[in-house]
Amino acid sequence: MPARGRAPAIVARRAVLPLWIAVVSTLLPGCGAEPPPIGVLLPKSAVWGREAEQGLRLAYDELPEEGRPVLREADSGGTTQGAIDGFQMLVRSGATVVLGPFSTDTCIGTGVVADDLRVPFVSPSATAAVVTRDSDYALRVCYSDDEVARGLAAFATEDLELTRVALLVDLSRTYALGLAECFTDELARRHGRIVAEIGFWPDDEDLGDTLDRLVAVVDPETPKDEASVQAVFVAGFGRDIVPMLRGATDKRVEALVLLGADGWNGAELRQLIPGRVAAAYHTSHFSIEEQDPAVARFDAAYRARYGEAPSDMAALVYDAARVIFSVYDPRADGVMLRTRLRSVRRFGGVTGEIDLDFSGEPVGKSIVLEQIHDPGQPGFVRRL
Amino acid sequence: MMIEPPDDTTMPPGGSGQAGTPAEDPLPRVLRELSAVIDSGRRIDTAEYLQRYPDLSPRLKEFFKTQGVDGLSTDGPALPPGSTLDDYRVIGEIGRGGMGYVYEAEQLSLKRHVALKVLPSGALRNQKAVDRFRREATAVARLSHPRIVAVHGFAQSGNSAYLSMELVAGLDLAAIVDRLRSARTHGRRFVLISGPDRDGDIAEWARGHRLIGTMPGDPHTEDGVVIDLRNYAHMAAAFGADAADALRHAHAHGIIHRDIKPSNLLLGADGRIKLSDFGLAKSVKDLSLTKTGDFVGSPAYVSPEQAASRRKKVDERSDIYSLGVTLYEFLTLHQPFAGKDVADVLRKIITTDPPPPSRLNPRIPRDLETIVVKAIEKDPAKRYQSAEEFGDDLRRFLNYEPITARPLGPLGRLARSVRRNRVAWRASVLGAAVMLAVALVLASTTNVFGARQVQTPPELVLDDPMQSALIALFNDLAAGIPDKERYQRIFAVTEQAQATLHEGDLVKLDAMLASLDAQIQLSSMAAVDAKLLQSTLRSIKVGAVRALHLAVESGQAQTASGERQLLGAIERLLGDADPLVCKNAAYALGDLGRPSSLGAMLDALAHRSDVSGRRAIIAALARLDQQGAVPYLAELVEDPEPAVRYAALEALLSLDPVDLELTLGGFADDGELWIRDRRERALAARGRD
Ligand SMILES: Nc1ncnc2c1ncn2[C@@H]1O[C@H](COP(=O)(O)OP(=O)(O)OP(=O)(O)O)[C@@H](O)[C@H]1O
Ligand SMILES: [Mg+2]
Repeated sequence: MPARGRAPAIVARRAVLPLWIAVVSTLLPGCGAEPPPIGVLLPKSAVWGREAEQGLRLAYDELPEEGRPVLREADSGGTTQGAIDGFQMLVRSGATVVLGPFSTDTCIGTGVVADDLRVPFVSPSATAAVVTRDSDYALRVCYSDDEVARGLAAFATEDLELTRVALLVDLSRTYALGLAECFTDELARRHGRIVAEIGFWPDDEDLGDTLDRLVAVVDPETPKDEASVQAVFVAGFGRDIVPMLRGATDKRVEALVLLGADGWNGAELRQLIPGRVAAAYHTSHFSIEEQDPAVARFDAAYRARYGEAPSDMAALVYDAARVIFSVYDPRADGVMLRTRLRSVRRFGGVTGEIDLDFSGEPVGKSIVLEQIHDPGQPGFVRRL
Repeated sequence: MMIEPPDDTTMPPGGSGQAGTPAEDPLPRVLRELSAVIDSGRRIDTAEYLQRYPDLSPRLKEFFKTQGVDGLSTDGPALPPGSTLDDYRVIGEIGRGGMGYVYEAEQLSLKRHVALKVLPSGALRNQKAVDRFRREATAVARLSHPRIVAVHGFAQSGNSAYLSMELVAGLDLAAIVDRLRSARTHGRRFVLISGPDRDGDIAEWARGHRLIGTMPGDPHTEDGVVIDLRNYAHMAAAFGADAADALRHAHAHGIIHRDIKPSNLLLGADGRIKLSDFGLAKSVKDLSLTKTGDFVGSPAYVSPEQAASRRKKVDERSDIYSLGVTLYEFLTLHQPFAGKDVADVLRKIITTDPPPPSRLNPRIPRDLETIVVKAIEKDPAKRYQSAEEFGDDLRRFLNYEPITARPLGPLGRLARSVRRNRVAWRASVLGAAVMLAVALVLASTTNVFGARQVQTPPELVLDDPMQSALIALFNDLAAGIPDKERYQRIFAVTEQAQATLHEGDLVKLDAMLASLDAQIQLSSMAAVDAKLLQSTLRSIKVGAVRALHLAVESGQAQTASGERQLLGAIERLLGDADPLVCKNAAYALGDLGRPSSLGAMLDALAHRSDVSGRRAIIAALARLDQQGAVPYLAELVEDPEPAVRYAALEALLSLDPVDLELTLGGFADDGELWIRDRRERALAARGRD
């Protein structure tokens, strides 16, 4: 029998120091009771925690000063357990709606608790399809991985007229598995097909070997066009293929078109890719190059305040916060707010128009497609 | 009704029911015997037992109480004929069940005959439960359907509470099955199933009355219904279709029956079936004053998921399952999951596939067998999804039309026949809570014994991780170890597994993971904890597959049996509930390309129900490059999931069997254009070179 006395780290509820930072605590004039706060569940330690907070603050400060809701923050620490603890703490302190958490895993865990507590949450960035499917109180403002995969498959077959694709799948993440499956199906529907599938684990020391396997199936000399690969779909994060590409010595790589989902914004990748492959396309949530006045306004305000360009994350949080503010009512409880969130229609977000449906999904949200070129060239291609 | 004492009821030497020395305390034996009676669905004459074992009477009473059988003979005399109860005059007793006596009575004010179900007076002590029973009963009273026994109302007066309902003339299906069984033992072919059982030559009599071959609803059935033991499949299907109709109506009104079993299918005067006791099962549990209370009466008809009453949601498909088991028994005269005690029955419901009905009764038509087998699939998703679908298929069978259910093909049969005694499959198909329920029942029984230690039943093989986990759980429950502590232990083992992965002891890791899976299945952890655990375990299992993959690839095992052990560990993870783990295992096996993995892969393919896992395995089969997979892949042309059919098509193309065109024939009229198209283009491309 394993040691019984020792409380394992996973169960032991970490004593999360309640980070009760009431950004503003306005009392409703003339009203005795405090209005319920809006909870914010941020991974403070994560690199993009700062970007998220900046997006949030920008949205908040755009509200008229009179009657601004109270925000209450908790740190998720980026872990599922942390997110669950934080969510519970926020609800205990009266929150009737929560912004966050951010990643798919943390949202899946939080969804279970939210269903129990009947308090909705809006995730800016959890893209796995299961997030909204498995929880009644989970909503999001970003599109799902399934749609990205379908959009990219459509782009590959229609715009690029590529039909024979190799799949590079990160076998350590469910995220990648979902992307790969949706892409495969959509490609097949469009008369394309996956010619080879190569799995990899990002923490593998021998990623070069993976690339060799890939290159082995890329042979433009092959007479039988059935077997030759025209493009590679990377079901995984862009940063994870950096070590692979860096070691690429084979000429055949130059013939490839790389396709990827979101999370390809690393500077390293941008440096590495140009010139090494035929072309590289990936999706993102938002682009400042797009000639949209609302986006331009957001971009200008963000730059003016923080002295840097807004990231995808900042834009998504900005939108999620504004969606929540647009439905927030101090008299409404969690169930009512969920109903209101589910009826958000044609909301003008900087990341695209947001129409939340009954399952909390932004239906038909458009996907930004970007290309990685030499620095200086515009990346925005179009919306899918 | 007297019970037939099971074979092992011979008195211990030295006394008629006298307790011997403490070492030969007859109580355990008597209790085992009683459990067997309960399981068999027969009723216990409590008075008879109390008389037979006077010394044991206090403990027997306790047992009857905890098993919900109090309130029968122990609970005061029954209502004699002629006695009155409010507006009713009792005419006679019809029978007894888990909820008390059922009488035929005349409702004086309306001058009609009704059936009264009188609750045991012991139940009245729990007023809240009685109220719930009343609420349920009144909800059911709103159902009005020719195939449902109408409930007139519920009344509580003085120290009795009763349900008044439509009186159904005929026998219940349990009694009919009894008659069929006894006819079979005595070599009689024709059995009268309405009215009093006749001795003598039923065949002659029935021929005279032109009753043979009648179908329910036919005009002649007023005189009686006769079953020809050699040919009653159509009657069974008609009964099933009637019951399914009743279910459809109730389900449409949001009422789940929860307790479908032969004794609740009553044969009406018109020779058709009416369903009784709708939705009452839940309140019966409250009324029966039992602490563990999950199984009142026989568990034989309980669906795998239903036993898990606490967390698993019981839905329409549980009723479909129970009706399927009922039809199985009617057709074969065997309970598919008969066992020696409650725990045994439940374990069988969980772990075993019953023999195909046609093996027990070769006269059962193939289509009807297919229908029944589909209804009793362990995975609710594989059953008929609604009572309507079930009823429609039964009617198709009755009308000699093609049915929609598909028989288990060679793939499924292979998988079932070669199924090894492994836990993994159970994971995907069955709720762990079922096992927990077994444990609870067993634990509670041992508490009646007053014993703290649970004895290991002899047939348990301890190297089966599921069984050792089950035993550990019994012991924990008997020792009163709280859930929380057990979960913490599971989490702790997870951490150890992580450490073991780091150390690289793969064989030990495999054993730990198997044991963890078993324990997790048995625990009814809160959903949040389960999710947390799943994400931790996922990374450990993915890591395990990688390490195993590497070990095999680099020839670390040295001996063939060592390699087999490592491969076996990967193969086990093909059955993991987490699709990502399955994907990793499939990828590794495809990469390693060991022909010996073929069986395990086909086995896993037949048992998984998720699309992700199945397509991963199919892709790996293509890489394994074994022609043996071809027939199994070709069979997937019938799969309802387009993604699975497509994957199978791609795999077949890459395996490139000699008769490719023939093999792909089934895909020529696939429902999806893109799949048909892929086949055509691939064949055309091959034609070119
Ligand atoms: N409405 C009815 N009309 C005629 N007979 C009935 C009626 N309801 C029940 N019976 C008969 O009374 C007997 C006892 O039924 P009862 O429902 O109490 O027990 P059961 O079905 O064996 O178990 P359970 O209590 O779990 O349903 C059965 O043999 C049944 O055939
Ligand atoms: Mg009944």
